[in-house]
Amino acid sequence: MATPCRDFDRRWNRLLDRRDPPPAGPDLHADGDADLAAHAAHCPRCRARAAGYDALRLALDERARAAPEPAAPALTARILDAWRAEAAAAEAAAIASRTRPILRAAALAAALALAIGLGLLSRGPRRPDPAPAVTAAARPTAVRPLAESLADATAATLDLARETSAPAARLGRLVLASAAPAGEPDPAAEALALPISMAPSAEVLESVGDGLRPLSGSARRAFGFLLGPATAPTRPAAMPSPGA
Amino acid sequence: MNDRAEGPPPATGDVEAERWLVAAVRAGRADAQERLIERYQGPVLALCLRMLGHRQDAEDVVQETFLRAFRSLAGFDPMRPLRPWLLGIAANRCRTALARRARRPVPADSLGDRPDPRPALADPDDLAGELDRALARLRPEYRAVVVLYHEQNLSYEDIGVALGRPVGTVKTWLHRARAELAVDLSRRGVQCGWPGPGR
Repeated sequence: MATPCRDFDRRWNRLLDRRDPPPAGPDLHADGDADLAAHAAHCPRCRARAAGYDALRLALDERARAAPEPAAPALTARILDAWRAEAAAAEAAAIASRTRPILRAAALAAALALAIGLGLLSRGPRRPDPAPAVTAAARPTAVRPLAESLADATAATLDLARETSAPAARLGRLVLASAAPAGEPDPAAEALALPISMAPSAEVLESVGDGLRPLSGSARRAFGFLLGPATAPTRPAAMPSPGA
Repeated sequence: MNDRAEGPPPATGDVEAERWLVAAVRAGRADAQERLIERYQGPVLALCLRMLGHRQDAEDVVQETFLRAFRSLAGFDPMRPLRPWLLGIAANRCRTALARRARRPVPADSLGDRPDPRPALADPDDLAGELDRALARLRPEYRAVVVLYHEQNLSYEDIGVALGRPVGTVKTWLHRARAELAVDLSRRGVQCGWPGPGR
């Protein structure tokens, strides 16, 4: 019975599965696979495949006969060294894992003791306060310097105002004195007669220049700062002509 | 279990020797670790070399395989065979290393290490070399099952356990891998043994 092409590979696989030395090509007849050879003789495709399978069989056979790979002492030593290093690392890790809870508990206890110690130290015997407590009697002395400073600042401000306004006031008096009619009391002299410490009142300053019609408007504009900021700007009723 | 680890290892019997080794390593015997590495380093290194095609990378994966095995040995069932278990760890580590390598940019000076994809006249005396080059062109899972089956002599069941795949998947992978290898070898002109048309 002729072997079909589809059985060719399967039969060769069965031959190659054998553990004992596989038969050579011609021995196929002896193994009852003569029809393989007969088929290959008439089928060029299967003949080419059979040649490849036969080469594979011989190559596998040659490989099986080759000397086994010898053990390399250097490789053995290398593997053992790596294993010892790994075992040592594992042992160190095991020791660390065993001692870690103990160390953790010890660290926790030390931290707790430290915290308790610090707490006790902070609550220890109360020492006298080095800073004297502020008593009710001493408290005004602490406030007093501020009031004195404010009073000094006020006085200095007034002095400064007087000094800066003195030249203007002097000029004003000179103008008024030169413009006053003869025989009438000189308001500038009256103002000068006032005590120094006494500030001129608003009424006095309002009266300055009364009766001096030709110059009253100009005098008011020039010396209005002496009257203070409350006075509204006044507009002269009738500006005198330059020739009047 | 630890009483098994006392005294010298059993002189005969692979199964007994494996169980003694497992028990001794679990008991923390340094000489047992060394003995276990020496006993299984060859097959593990052969698998890694075939999978990765680079000696330094293969040794790195061998080291990683044994370190993982030592870490996981406490949960290992001593009734199971040790070798498929170790080879399974190695195969998975190789797959991870290959994925890592695929993400890494290839330096220009390493281009010479790549397998030559051009078809060339096969050297009949270098069948194993041709097989290595063909294996390097396979998908990693196919490569792993070929190496585990044909070079490490694991059964389909052991390969399935080692790779975490059903036996049916392992069989499918192995058959496809063989077909690809046969086609690859044939294309490269590696023909020997099978009588040609004129023979």
